[in-house]
Amino acid sequence: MGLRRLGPVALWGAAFGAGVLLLPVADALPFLTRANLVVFALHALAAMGLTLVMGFAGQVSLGHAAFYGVGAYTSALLTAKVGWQPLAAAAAGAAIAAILAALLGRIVFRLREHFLAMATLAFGLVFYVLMRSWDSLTGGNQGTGGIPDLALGPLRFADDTSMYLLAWGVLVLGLVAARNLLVSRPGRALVAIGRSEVAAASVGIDVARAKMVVFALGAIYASLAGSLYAHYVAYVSPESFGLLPSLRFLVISTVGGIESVWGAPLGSAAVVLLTEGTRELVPRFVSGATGSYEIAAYGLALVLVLLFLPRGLAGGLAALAARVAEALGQRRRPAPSLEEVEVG
Amino acid sequence: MSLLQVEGVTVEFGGLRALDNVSMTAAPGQVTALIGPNGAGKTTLLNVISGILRPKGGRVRFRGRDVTGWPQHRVAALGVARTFQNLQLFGDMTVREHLLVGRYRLTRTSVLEAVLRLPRHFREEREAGRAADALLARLGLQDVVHWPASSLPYGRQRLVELGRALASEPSLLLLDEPTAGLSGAEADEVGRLLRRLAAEGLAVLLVEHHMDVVMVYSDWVVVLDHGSVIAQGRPEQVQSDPQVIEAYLGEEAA
Repeated sequence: MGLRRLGPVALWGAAFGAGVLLLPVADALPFLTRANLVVFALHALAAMGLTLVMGFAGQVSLGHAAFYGVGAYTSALLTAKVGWQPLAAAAAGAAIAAILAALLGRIVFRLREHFLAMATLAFGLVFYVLMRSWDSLTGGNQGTGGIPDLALGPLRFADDTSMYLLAWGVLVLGLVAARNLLVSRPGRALVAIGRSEVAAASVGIDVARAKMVVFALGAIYASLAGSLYAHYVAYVSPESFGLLPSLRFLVISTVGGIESVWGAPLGSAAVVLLTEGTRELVPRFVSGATGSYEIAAYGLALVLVLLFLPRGLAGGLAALAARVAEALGQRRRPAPSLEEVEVG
Repeated sequence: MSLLQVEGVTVEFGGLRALDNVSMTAAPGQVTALIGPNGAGKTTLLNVISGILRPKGGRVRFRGRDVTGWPQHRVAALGVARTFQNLQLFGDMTVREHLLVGRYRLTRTSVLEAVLRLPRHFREEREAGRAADALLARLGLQDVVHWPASSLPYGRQRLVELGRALASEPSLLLLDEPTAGLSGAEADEVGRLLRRLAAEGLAVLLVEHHMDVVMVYSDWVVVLDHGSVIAQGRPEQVQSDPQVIEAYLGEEAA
């Protein structure tokens, strides 16, 4: 509440500042590096697109990493092979991702529930196979390298710290955009669709079109994250955009909470902590354990959250904050009883 | 001329005839009641008019325009609003937000204008907010404006749904059992509200089971039985129609 009174610029400035404060936190924790922070911010940005799709329009996507890949490959190919400016290439990637999502949405939103999930799963796999087998364009399994460092005017984003700050900045802008959308005519229409499609249509909302738009918007978030990722690692290959990354985005969104725009950053932080933590800890206790505990960590996070925080970390934190505020308020003055409220 | 004209509408569900050659009209300033035993096809008719169901035969005209088979949102955009028999609220959205969503067809702010907070967003939010607050006061919901709709008692949830429909400033209002689950006093209140709305020029078409509400507050009554119109007329005429009495007695005997 106190923050809100500062006005939107101060609020989002504070959000950016909170991200900067994560740098010393990462340095202090033995199992975290600044490279983990980059991954955290990029995945949060991509997952925020999925949060929009799932939370605002009630649609599940199992192929979200494909849109991440569209951004990454478009940026990679256009900057490394054609010599485009990074910003123009990222914009092209976002446009392609949005158009693909809209076309896919036109087809799949006729389907419902698990059929819809299956269709997005199929889309993700088709993209993955296409990137692997279209050798002449994508380099196939070997992937595409030689992607230049990201430079915007005089600013270069070549190391972990600068890339993290850029990705976090884009993430905060993404939060602002999502937040602005939520509290507006088109955003309320999306929330309405998630609650009752027949009632939404009864006030004139074109349900199919609205879902298409939110799907395209979610793809733009993922594509921008993918573009940043391509410049960051300077090399892209299909493995980063297959089923497991799609699953990762799904876990991030769900664990963080799909009803809040803050869900994706919280979920991404949780997943990074969990995967890095298990990577550090598991070999100490289980000798000879190999890489697949990442999947086990996703599963564990998902089960724990679904059991104890059905509305995700964001929902849990909001409930906690409400309880703290209530406790503080009660200490200052007794809350009016229900009868008093109604008489007044 | 009537605002709504239903002409020979026929609906079949897997060979079962839910509506058979149904014709009826609704006019501005009038409360038209649709009555009949359970399973007579009343809700089916509302669903055809509002575009949820495409009829097998017949026409629906609104303002002289053939809207048969139009998708639901396009019919709504013309000014046809409705409520549902089993409440269809937007869960934990607040009461006020429900009414703001109701204003959807009257506003134009796009995703881009909302995200970038362009002037149209602010202008329309102000206008929609004022209209919603006025309507909330009229419906007596001003004390629960920021409550989640799902936390209200049942009768007030029905009012929220009615408010959402009215927020779109419709010319035709379709109500599916607006008094179901309400006390006699609450039902009377809804009836009086419908009379006032009609007096303002709205065409009201309601499916209703409370016979006292039908008799006191409607101008015209259409009686459906087994998917066909068996009688229509002024309430007192319909009340004494032998076919109507038989349809209702038949239901009670069964």
